[in-house]
Amino acid sequence: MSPSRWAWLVVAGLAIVVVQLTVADELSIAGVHAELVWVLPVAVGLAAGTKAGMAAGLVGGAVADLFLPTPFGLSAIVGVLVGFFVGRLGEEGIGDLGGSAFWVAPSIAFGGGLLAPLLYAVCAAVIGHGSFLSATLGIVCGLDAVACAVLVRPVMRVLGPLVVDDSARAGPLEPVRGAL
Amino acid sequence: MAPQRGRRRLLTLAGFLLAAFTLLAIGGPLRSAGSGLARAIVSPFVDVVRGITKPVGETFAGAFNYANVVAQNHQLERELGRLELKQRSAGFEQTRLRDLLALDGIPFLGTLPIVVAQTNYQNLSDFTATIEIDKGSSSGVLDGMPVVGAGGLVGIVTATTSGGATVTLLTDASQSIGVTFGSAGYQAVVHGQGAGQPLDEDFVAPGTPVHKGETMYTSGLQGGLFPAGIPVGRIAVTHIHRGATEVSISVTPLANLNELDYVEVVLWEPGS
Repeated sequence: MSPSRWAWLVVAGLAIVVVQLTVADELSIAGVHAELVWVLPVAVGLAAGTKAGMAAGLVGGAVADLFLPTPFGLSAIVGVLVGFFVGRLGEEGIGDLGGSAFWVAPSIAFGGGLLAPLLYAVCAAVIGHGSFLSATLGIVCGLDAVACAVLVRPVMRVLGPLVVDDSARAGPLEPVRGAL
Repeated sequence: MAPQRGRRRLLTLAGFLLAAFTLLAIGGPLRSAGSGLARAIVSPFVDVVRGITKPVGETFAGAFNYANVVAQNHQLERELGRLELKQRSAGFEQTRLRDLLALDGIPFLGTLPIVVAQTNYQNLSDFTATIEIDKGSSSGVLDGMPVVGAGGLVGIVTATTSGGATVTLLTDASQSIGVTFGSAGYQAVVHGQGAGQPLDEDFVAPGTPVHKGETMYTSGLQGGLFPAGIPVGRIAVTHIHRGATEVSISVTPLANLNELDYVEVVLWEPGS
């Protein structure tokens, strides 16, 4: 990862925080709202593979944690794991904007958004925040899943060309990745 | 070749996880150093986007709910008149209550100084019920101070910087508040269950007269965490399970925790 790619991830993380504070936080259901932090590792993982996905999870999670009252670094841990698993699918060309069907990336993002808050709550419980495993967790998972599914393609479209590693382009996936 | 690539991938994952766990381990100092800078960067953009989205949203809300807005206005005028009357007639009772509590050494809300603060952000995380206010230690706001507004107890200050503070709402799952209710002054403890959820109540023995709609106030006795007399919530549902040793009670917070534009921090430290 070159410094410019890291810088783009920081900018993307801050942009997502702005959208979170101005739009997502205003649209709540049963007292909870969609957390957009998971969109970044999912979209970057699908567009640019595991390493970029994990970097996006780390940076996006750390930036988001600067604004949250929850333990600092927790979102980064979950972001790294989400970025890794989604990035593996991305490296196989699954969910690629150019080569896959329209619904594949949103479906994977839906799954990522569904599991990320659950993983977050479990990790929080492990480090002593058992109250995070609350009754509203189901609604949180649902909202995050929908937000990820809706936003993944636009974020991939904008961020993909900026963070995809040129060395990762060489190889059997070249025609697919080139479509970005 | 493939196993080697897989091993390299796992090593990279381990490296990233190590970095993330380092952030978790260092935690506090990193957050306090980076948070101010990140907020300073983001704030102008947030203001610009809010400046665009808020009037649009309010125009739509006003256009589609005009009759509702007028009805709410009339209702508020009636409510204001009723409260003014009630406040004037309650002066005598307050004086008596303050004198009685002073005899027991229990602080009374009505006599304590307050700081009015504006809410910057509300419920930033789905996993904690918090708000962020624009008054901090430079205004005398300290950790542990109670926060009231919008009709009742809002929560407690849990983190402060010089120019702001984080308030954990009473609905947060980490909160427990000692309350008193009923003419006989029964004691109980209410617990938060998460943002948007009602409060849950403990330590009410079967046979205790509990009435739906009854208001609960801070008792001032729970290790001095809150001064006495702050309205907390209203009893919404009561239920006694067969063979249970206590009554199951659900309490609705009196403060409208969804509309907290301004709150009041009571300048009172626990145990003081």
